[in-house]
Amino acid sequence: MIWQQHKITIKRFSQLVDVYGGNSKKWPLEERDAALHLLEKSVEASHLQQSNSNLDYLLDKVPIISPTSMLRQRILASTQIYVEPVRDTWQWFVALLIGNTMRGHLLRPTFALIIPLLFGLFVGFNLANLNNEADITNETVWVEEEVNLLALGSME
Amino acid sequence: MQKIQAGNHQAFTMLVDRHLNKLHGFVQRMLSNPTDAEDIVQETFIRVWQKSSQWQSKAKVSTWLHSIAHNLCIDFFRRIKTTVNIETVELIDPHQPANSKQQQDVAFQVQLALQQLPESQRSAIVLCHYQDMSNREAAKILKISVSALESLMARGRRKLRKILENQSADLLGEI
Repeated sequence: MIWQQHKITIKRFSQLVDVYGGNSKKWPLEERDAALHLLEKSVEASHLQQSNSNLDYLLDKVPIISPTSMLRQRILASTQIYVEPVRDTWQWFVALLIGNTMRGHLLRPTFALIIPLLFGLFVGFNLANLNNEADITNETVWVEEEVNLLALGSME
Repeated sequence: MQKIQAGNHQAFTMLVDRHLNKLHGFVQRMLSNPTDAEDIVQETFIRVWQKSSQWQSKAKVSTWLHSIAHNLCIDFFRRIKTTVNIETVELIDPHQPANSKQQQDVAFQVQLALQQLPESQRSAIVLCHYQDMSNREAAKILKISVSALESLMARGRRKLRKILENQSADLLGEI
């Protein structure tokens, strides 16, 4: 038996009822058997328990108040608007691309497609400009050479 | 809880159904104001949904829920920083059949006495007496040792006895 291994003193019993009250169901599990055993034998322990039971009795008179029926609905509605938690990087990436709302379902894939398109256009335009600049530079050099040749020819 | 972590809202609904009444009882007894209590319970469940990834499988779900609700209650007390106002203490549940006038008076006096306790002592008594938490669970929620919890409980109950001392005979007689 547990109480035989862990006997408690009347002083500890007094503390126990002072802290947890007279209801033995509220006592810590590891001390309950020993305390009940002491209670059976000791008149003093019985008095201590009784003196603390009045307060328990009064505390139990405070009624349990039920939540309103709207609270459950409010909780469930308010949590549905939040982004659902995701487990791994892939799910996070998919959620990022697809979105969680109707608006997100339309806008996010559109953005996801537009971004590489814009990037391609940007790169394409820049490359075209580079080629134009290169052509212009080559043409300028050729004209300068022609002018130089003409100039040399006239000197001769 | 693992399903909730995976984003399963149906599992979350089951969690709400299972713990709503008990959690509401805890917050209601801490605050004694139905409107504020419902707001805090709602905020607790929203946090559970949003921060479900922070839950560790070792922790008991009810302990975790109470821990979040308790922190929100403390934030609430810090925000309002008011003492007990008798007018804000509401006990009568309009959804339940009315008890006798005497019983309502007793409940009101006891609830009022509870509200006069310091927040830490009230938390300890509410968790252990009303929420049927073990001393270890309550200590974990309050982030204190079991001996510190016992000290809070003993002081709280002594103070309650003192507050109710004058009325105790009348109150017990009324019942």
